[in-house]
Amino acid sequence: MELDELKRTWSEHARKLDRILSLNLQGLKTAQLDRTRSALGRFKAFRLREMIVGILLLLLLGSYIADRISIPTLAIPAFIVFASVLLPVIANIRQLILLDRISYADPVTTIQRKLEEIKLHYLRSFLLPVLMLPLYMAYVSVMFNLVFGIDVLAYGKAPFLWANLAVSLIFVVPAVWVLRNLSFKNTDNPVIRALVHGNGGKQMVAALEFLKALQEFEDEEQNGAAKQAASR
Amino acid sequence: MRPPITDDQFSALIEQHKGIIYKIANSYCRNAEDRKDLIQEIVVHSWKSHGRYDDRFKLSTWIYRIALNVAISAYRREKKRSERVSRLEEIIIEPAAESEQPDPKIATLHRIIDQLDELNRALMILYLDDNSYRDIAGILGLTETNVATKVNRLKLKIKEQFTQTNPD
Repeated sequence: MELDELKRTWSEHARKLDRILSLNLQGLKTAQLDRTRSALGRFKAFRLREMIVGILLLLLLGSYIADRISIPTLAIPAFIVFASVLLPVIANIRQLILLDRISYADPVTTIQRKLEEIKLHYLRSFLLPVLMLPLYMAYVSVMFNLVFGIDVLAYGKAPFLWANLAVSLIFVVPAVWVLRNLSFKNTDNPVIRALVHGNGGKQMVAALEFLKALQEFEDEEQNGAAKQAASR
Repeated sequence: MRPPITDDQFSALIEQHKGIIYKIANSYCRNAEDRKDLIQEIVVHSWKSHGRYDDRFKLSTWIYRIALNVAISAYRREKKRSERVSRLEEIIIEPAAESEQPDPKIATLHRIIDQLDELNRALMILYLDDNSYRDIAGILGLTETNVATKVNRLKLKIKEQFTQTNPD
């Protein structure tokens, strides 16, 4: 069977579909009114809620810092915790702006890349605990102060503080490595796969792989030309 | 930005392009319930995006872009039906005659389409719908040369698979 014939069969099928497909006007009107129907709309609403929770946390931390501003051993760790909440809130606002600019009427590869990058950005926030590992003492300090009223950095014993500083420094290596290597070019790396597995990791690997596939889909022309040149 | 579209104009627009919407939904969703949802989502996005229609392109290009973007995103979401919210009961576009036997050639073509990844599937539908390379390039955001290379490869694949399943 020739391809032209196949295409003709498809066209006939399309014409037949046009004849037999019916449009339900009531369903159409309901869909027009239902703004929460789109998955993108739900994702936006979820991000908005996250952002509000983040801002509330910032307000509480701000008040905590204001009360302890004259005590560096309490204020500095609280600033670090504040920054670790502020960064995701800023990222959230940025993503909400990007999501608002998404128009599904743009070319497929452009929109799919944008959507996947936003998703990836979101999933990466799950890795924040790994990246914050070297600064875990900041959380310990704030928590001890809030729960027990103790300034652990000011009154902790020297061996305890030195041991924790050493552990913090050890954590710098995996944190920097993750930061530098988390890209769609490294999805085959077993360490990256193992690290992201769990915390939304499967979705993240899928997003990274799709970005890679998109890149290959767009680059095929150049790849083909390069292969041809190499074979000459 | 275009002036707001009226309900009647929008209905006419969807009526005119219902075939494209149905074909794309059917190619990314073989399950009838999910297909119904996908069609609704395509319609919602078309309604939301009508103000952003760029009249340098054909209306069909605009519909293809929205339908493909929504279908690919839905295909990638892998969300369970039970997790979805705000499910509408109404079916927006449906075939009037379900009793007809499906054409075996069309069924084979659908099997070939099902084996393709989401991006090549879009290319295949656009090619089968007889769009020009220029239009396909505009819808997908590729160069015409790239489209030509990919279409040639797809043609070979269709021919090979069709010969395997229909040796006569």
